Amino acid sequence: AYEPPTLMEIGDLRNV
Amino acid sequence: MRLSPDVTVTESGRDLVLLNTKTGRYWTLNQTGGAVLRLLMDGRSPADAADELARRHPPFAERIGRDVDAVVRSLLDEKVMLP
Repeated sequence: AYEPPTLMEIGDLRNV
Repeated sequence: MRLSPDVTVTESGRDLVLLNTKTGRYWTLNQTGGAVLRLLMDGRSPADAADELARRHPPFAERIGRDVDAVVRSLLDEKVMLP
């Protein structure tokens, strides 16, 4: 089973 | 390539969560991305990492080189990994 490697930005703790 | 000293890595289920403790930005890497990151952190080159993934997933060998190049470029662009 193969899923292309993905880097996804979730957010920025400074804006929480 | 090496992990930025400002970035910490935590497992979250099958994914990895990466936090830049200096900037506050954080990311997820899916399972395959995590495999690439671990190989790079072990000192393997991107080409070696692609070969290893192709060995694990033979039906996808043709596209894996491009996929690894793309995620490595993202890791460098985001300064998660340093050259």
